[in-house]
Amino acid sequence: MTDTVLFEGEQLYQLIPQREPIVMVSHVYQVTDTDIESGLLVKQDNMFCANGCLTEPGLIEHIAQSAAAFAGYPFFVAGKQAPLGYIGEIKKLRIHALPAVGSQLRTRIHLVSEVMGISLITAETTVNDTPIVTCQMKIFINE
Amino acid sequence: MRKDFFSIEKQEINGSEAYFLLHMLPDSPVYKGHFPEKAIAPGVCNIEMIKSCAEVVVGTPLLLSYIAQCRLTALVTPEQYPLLQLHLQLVSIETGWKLIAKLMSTTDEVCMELKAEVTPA
Repeated sequence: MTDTVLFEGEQLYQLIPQREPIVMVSHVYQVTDTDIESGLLVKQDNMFCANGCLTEPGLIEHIAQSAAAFAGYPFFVAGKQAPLGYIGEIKKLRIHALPAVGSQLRTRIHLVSEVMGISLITAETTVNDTPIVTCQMKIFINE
Repeated sequence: MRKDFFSIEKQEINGSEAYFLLHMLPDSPVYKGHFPEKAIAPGVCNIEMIKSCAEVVVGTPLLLSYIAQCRLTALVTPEQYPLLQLHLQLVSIETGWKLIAKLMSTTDEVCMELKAEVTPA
């Protein structure tokens, strides 16, 4: 794990098509051919926060947008706009805990395969090395 | 429950099974960002909507602890799909309930199928 920040805040708009109020990635730390490390600082005014915690849809969207940032990175490198992407399927998603406001989520997305615009990824989100979410996802990228 | 995203038009609860007719609200602020050029209901908001309906059925706040599988088979836009039908099945298990849901258009086109487990929050 690295703590170098490649993208943060509105710089993420270069990688993902989502905009406020539903931007659920605040940091990208590392991108390789097969992996991305991303993060989200959980703020009080996050649209998916309730009772002082980030709720399930916010966690799932954070993973989906981390995958979108991974898919968007080559577009950024090529000087193009981030493509629209959609969740096609979620599998074996386990939520271990809802992180409190102020938590810094840390997520690693691993690309398992990519065929005709459909990416199969695995994801693991932690807070201070404690597991928060693990899942598999299929993401469709509209090129 | 996210009151600006949908409203319940009709509900029929029959033991462990339930049917809801849901009105998708086009003015939800979420569409400002998803996406600026085209309003598409975020899949995660549809999942949250299904959980909210399950909470109506069981009468207690729920945590979505596990998704075995969720298939998103149609993009839901509030213009194209102002009304959605939801079929819900909730089976009691040791930790809470097993939830099986199917979200469909009014012409029975399947938009989302969800197999999950929920626990009392």
